[in-house]
Amino acid sequence: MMNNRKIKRLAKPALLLVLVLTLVSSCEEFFHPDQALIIMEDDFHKTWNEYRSAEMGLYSLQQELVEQLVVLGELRGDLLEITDGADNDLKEIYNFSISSGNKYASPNNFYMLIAACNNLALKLESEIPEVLDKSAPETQYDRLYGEVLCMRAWTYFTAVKIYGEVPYIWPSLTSADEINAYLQSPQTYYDVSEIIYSIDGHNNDTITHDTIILERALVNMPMVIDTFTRQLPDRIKAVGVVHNLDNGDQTWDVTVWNTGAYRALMGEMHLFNSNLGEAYSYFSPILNFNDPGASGIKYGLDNKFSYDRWISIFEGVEVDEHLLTLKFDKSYQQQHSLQTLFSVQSPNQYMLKPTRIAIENWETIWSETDIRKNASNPEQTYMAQKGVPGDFYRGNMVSYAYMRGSEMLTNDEVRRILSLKSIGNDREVEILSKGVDTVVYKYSINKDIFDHDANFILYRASAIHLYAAEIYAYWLHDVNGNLNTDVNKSLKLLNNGAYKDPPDGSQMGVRGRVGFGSADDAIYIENQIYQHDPYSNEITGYLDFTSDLPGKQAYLEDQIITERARELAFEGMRFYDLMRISKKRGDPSYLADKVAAKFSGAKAEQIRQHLMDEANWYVPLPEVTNWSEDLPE
Amino acid sequence: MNRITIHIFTFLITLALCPTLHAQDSLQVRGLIRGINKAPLPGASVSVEGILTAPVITDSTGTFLIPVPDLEVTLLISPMGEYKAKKVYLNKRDYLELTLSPEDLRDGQDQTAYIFYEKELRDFASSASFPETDLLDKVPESSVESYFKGLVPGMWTTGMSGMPGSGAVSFLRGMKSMHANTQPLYIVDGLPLDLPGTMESLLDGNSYNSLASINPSDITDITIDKDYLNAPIFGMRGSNGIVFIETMKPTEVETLIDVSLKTGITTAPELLPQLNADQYRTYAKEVLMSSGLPEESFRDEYPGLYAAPGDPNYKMYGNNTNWQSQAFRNALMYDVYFRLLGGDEIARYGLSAGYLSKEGIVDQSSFDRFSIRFVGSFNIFTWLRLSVSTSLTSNSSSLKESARSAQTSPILSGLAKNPLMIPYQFDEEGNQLLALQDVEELGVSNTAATIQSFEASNRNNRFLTNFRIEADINQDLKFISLIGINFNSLNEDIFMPNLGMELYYNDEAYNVAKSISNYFFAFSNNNYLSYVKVIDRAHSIEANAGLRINSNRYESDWGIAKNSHESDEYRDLQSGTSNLNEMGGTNGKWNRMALYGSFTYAFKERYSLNMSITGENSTRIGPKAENVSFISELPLGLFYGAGVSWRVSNESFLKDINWIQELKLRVNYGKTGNDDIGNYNAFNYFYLNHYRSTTGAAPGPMVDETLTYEDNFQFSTGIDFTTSGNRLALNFDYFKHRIENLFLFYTQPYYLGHEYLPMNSGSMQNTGFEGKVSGRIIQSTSFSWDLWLNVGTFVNQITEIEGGEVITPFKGGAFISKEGEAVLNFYGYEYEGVFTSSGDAVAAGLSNRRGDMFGAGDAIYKDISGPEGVPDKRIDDYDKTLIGSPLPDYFGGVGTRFRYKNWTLDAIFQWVYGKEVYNYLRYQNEKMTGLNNQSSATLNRWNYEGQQTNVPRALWDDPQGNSDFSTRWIEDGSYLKLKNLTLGYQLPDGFLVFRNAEFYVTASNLFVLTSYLGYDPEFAFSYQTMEQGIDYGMTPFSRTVMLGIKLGL
Repeated sequence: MMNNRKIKRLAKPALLLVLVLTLVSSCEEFFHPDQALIIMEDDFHKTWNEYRSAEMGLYSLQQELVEQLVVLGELRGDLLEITDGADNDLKEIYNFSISSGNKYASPNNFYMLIAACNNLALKLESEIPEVLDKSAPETQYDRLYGEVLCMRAWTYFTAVKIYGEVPYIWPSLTSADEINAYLQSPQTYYDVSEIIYSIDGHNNDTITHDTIILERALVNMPMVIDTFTRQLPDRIKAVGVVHNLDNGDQTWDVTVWNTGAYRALMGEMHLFNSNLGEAYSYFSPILNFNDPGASGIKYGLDNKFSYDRWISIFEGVEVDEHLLTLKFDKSYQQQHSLQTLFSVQSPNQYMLKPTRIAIENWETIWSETDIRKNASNPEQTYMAQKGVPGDFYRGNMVSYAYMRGSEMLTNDEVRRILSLKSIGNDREVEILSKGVDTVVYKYSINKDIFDHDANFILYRASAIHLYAAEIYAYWLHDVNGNLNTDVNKSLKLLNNGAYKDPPDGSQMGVRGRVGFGSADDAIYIENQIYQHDPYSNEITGYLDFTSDLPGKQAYLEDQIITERARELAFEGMRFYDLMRISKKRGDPSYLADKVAAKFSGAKAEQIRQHLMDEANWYVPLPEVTNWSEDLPE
Repeated sequence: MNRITIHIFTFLITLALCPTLHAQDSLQVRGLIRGINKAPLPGASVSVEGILTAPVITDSTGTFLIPVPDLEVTLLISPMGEYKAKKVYLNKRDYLELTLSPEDLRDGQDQTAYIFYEKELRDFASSASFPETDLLDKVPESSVESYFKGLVPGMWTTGMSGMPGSGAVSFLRGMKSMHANTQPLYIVDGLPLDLPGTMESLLDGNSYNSLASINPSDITDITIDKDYLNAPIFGMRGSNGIVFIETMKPTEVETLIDVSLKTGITTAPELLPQLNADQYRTYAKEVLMSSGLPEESFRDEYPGLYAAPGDPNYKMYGNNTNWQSQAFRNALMYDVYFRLLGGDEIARYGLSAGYLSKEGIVDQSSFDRFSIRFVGSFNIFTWLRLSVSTSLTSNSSSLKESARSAQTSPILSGLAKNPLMIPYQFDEEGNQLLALQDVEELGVSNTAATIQSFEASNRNNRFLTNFRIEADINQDLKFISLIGINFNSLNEDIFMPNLGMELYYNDEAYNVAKSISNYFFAFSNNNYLSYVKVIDRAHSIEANAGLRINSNRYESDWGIAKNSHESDEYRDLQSGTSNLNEMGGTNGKWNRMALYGSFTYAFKERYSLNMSITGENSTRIGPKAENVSFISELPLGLFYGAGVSWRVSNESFLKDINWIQELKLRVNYGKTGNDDIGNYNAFNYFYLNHYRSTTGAAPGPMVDETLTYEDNFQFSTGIDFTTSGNRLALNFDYFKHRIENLFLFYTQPYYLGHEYLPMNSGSMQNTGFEGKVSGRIIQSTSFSWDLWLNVGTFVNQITEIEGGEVITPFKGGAFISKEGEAVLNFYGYEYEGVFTSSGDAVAAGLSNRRGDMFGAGDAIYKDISGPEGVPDKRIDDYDKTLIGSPLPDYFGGVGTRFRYKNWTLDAIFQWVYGKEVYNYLRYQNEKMTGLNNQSSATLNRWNYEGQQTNVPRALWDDPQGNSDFSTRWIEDGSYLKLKNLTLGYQLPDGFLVFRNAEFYVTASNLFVLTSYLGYDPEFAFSYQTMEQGIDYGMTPFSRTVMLGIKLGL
């Protein structure tokens, strides 16, 4: 009886307890609650949509790099300089004296992107092993895998251009344990056979076998190029997830890594290694793009972006010109601060501006010039018509602008200034240009001062064409069984365009598109090349290259690099263009002279001396004292 | 006399009727009972615990004689009138002399609710404080923890700000974490409250105060437990001390009604001395000239500076306004409280309702609280009882931005706005209008606009309910189940207007509407068996074992809309410009489950052994945590405590020393945890980002899967001493606290892709003591004088930290946490004055980090070191050093109470000594780098070659670094404050229809003794450890005078 009562007393609370315990213990959710705004790794990578999110995650991280790419690629070159309002970090970059903690020098964002690539590549390899099987039918996963590999290669390649050498983080390190295991694993040796190509890409290549210690591990540019130019063709089945199946938006094709962008990256890496033949093999399909399904000629340098349509390259995502573009959009909070740096209109801070050199590249190019050449007696060559100064399709109001307060100087006003200048009326010029600032305008075209969302183009057709022109300037290649140069092809790419094989009349060439491709304004290579006063266009002398092919080639290459300055100014490539040519010629003074030219007085000489040492071309990496001791046990 | 006669009569009759009982007892105890001033106390009844005999009564000489079965029984003494009853363990004595304590004096035999039971204060084997609650509703504090300032030994409590409704930050026995929670766990009627930091605010300088939803008038008992003896029962939440709060108890069987009314006024603070209009003009021109641009350009750009009498714009610029006075006002408050208690033997209830309306001294700020609470207790069967405590609180506040954002803070704009203007516009005839003046070319928001047009309000609704079911299984064993629900919502709306204000969001927005809604829900369930047994009146055993679970869900959603309409008429989220809208939110879930037990064994009230143990799972712990045991993949942390206490006063060698009432030694050691390490930092996850119009996901930071709770260990020993009748009481405690597995954000090498890795690393310790002495200095029938004093101190030391030191930057400066030093040391330059002349500067040859030489009028910083380890004449990171600690050396309080007849006068002082603070407000106010108005201290700025001064030259934008973070901005933040002075008058019983009635007047913050140069040395920017000691310009505390009346029916 007593027992029964006891049991009864206990019954209800016990029941309650049991109920609670059941609720708790039967519920996995109690011990592993779902979180809504983040995704636990265990719950991720289950569906295609999740893989697609991971893909988008990469581009979002790549967006974070844009400001750094422009600042490091241009402010150290000869086209961009600081204003009085520049902050200390920019001043340091400009003066090549970069201190630790400089936000533009930080490699963090590169490695955040590398970590994300490693993570996704590893996930694809383990979860979707078909991506590694070249014989399996091609799927979206293969295309995604291609994107990830391209993205990782691009990131390393871009980083190594900036830092000279970079740590090589290959595995997907996602936990402190893995990091420690990686850092403490036996140090491996990595055998690289390095080929130093001759300037024409063919004769007297030097092949060395270097055993390089991969000490967790700083790799230099040849190693990065060697690694990825092998890895990409070896592993990639396809590149570029086809997004327009879902949304019908063609612009998706070029806002993610795609076959064209892959080729551009591969070609570029080979070009930086002076492997001209390999580089051209990747550029050629872009130059000679022929897709029966596509409307119009893709990458064709035809009239689509000619003359006053050239500006539209920067107004939207242009699938026929862009190979890879990072699209920004304020309404999705995807912005960068390029406008803050460049625009003079408050609250933008106008910290960077184009150099005089950059502006003169556009202002001192002349069209409709009529030179009556006398090849046998160059002294008697004279100018019948000096022509019209200025590149107004790519220059004023496009790549740069003159601003008087918030008012932009019109092309007519600038033309007037240039024409006054050409007749030496400096006083009038001074009056007209009083209170005027020059600004980089490329990232402000059609933008409100608060927009900060101009797209950033990583690869576009004319850049590739100019690379090809650069190759043809020196390249010895096989023509009907003979090794020949074809400098003319280089000129065609530059000037007026009938470079295709077979020739296609719709091509206009890089200069031809904007009115500088015809006989009276094209770049020419002859025994005598006449020099002009930049502002009056008066002939000041001539260079004689009679029987001097190397001289002509070097002259042509200089012209190509200058053309890149007009075509691709402020797109983050200038410093590496100068670097590439300097290295190819084995002459640091090429870069040092160009960069020093934007400084004046003793400062110019100091910078020149500084840059004569190739080691100073690179941004210092944060100090890592001991690779394996930097991490917690 | 009459009653005594009856007692004696009863006694005699009892004796007559029970001769047998009497005859059996050969043992008798004689005793003498005294009252105040040792006067013999007649008429007290004395009986033997646990034995049914008639009580004896003390005679007119205060003596008694009582038969006892043996000499180890406990006598119960129930005095007449104004004395407290007492239990005395005979301890083999046959003669007893003892002094009872007056009813208004705390006694060790008072009871308080503790974890499992009501417990006598003297039986606490751990160090605990019991702040008296009788003054709690006579002070103008709107939440209970603010009342602890200076009151609790060992607890360093600092009010956050004078903004109404804001709370206080409390550190008990030192700093117990760097990045995890350091605030005590508040347990209200057995239900733990959410920790600070759970609810988010969009308003800078405003931290949600969880305790604002508990009406202090409802509180009856407070126990603050400092040791790790029982804290391990609360496992991963027990490390920072536990504050047990008990609200009203339904104890009455007659119906009682209490009403309390109070009203008060808080006066505007004293204003800081700023430059007047003329001084400002001179200053502004000087700083503009230092930019190196020609003066003509300023004439065009800043015509106001050059306006002279007679100029058309002189009306606008020819004033001399002190903008601070636009920000502050005298503020009113009132509070109404009603309480009803009643019931019968079966069911008893209590109901209270309160309304508080409190204005802030920053104009237009206010706090309103409406709270109701219902408590009930029901005896369902003789063996089953149910009690319920439920409360609903609705708070609404009108707030102002109070700290770092210069555009919207009335305090910052009040200091920085130029004195030339007035807040209002003029019409064409030059008459002043009511329309606010917009921001002119000299910048800085119109202070009147920050008050009148800027709006920030929040609404906090909290529902807190708690059921307790108690079932007797048998005489000794009970089953108890507690079920609690804590539902909390906080909605905040902010509107940042256009007119009169600077632009926002990098100048893109002219007006901004922001909203956030926070939602928190916690379910707690605690079930335990409780066993209490006394064997042979000598061995007492208490044992408890139980299971508790706690499940939490939190969500917050916010939206920001910009540029709705220039007129500021549309203040909602819908009206913003669509491509500027932003929204977001956070979300978290975390659960805990624990099995726990506690055991106490006491022998003859002399020795007591206490133990507690808990195994707890928290969903925040990493899957590879190392300080846990795994039970089928579930990590279980183990927490324990053990201690002994020895009541020396019951030992035979002391038993006859009558002036010692209590002498007890305690020692214990225990371990707790702190799982405030983020809900998912221990797990690999992806966070969401965007590319184009789609959602992307990128891997979160590298994860340390061993991430786990912080381990806290504490050794504590103490002594409690009380003289007879509680005339003098002394408590002293020594503690040594150690924390291991410190939760840190470790800076990773760059090549791992993420800057920080959340991890456990390093250890820290706090060593210190706290003591309290209190005494009744004078005691007579009509007059008494009490005095108490407490002091606490701790020495914090980091014993190990990854890399030897961690630098934590904050806006304007940085903290360093370095091995061998205390956590939280300001890290910057040592300021040594100003170069008097160019010659001095050249001789010193110092340059700043960019290599620019310091010249005449520039700051002199101490050149401590360089890259080579020796001074290099360059002032850069190598010259930064420890320049002050916001941790106090000593802190505590002093209080006194005078009572004369029905009058009472209380005074409570708080003092904090030996802490340094960073005066960011003064930095803003004296840095002289732009057109903001500055403090009158800048009149001493360096102006000419050879000038001896301590204030550098005015320098546009400060490229030289003269106002860098240095000892120049670090000040002594010690203070002594008269927190409360209360004068009360209690009406005689039965006045009119009232059961009792009391009038009082309280003055708060009446005076402050400090050398601090800001408004008030008492401030806390947030509950975060790493944000203490920085005065970003919080609303100061100010003098309050309050009148109140309490009536009982």
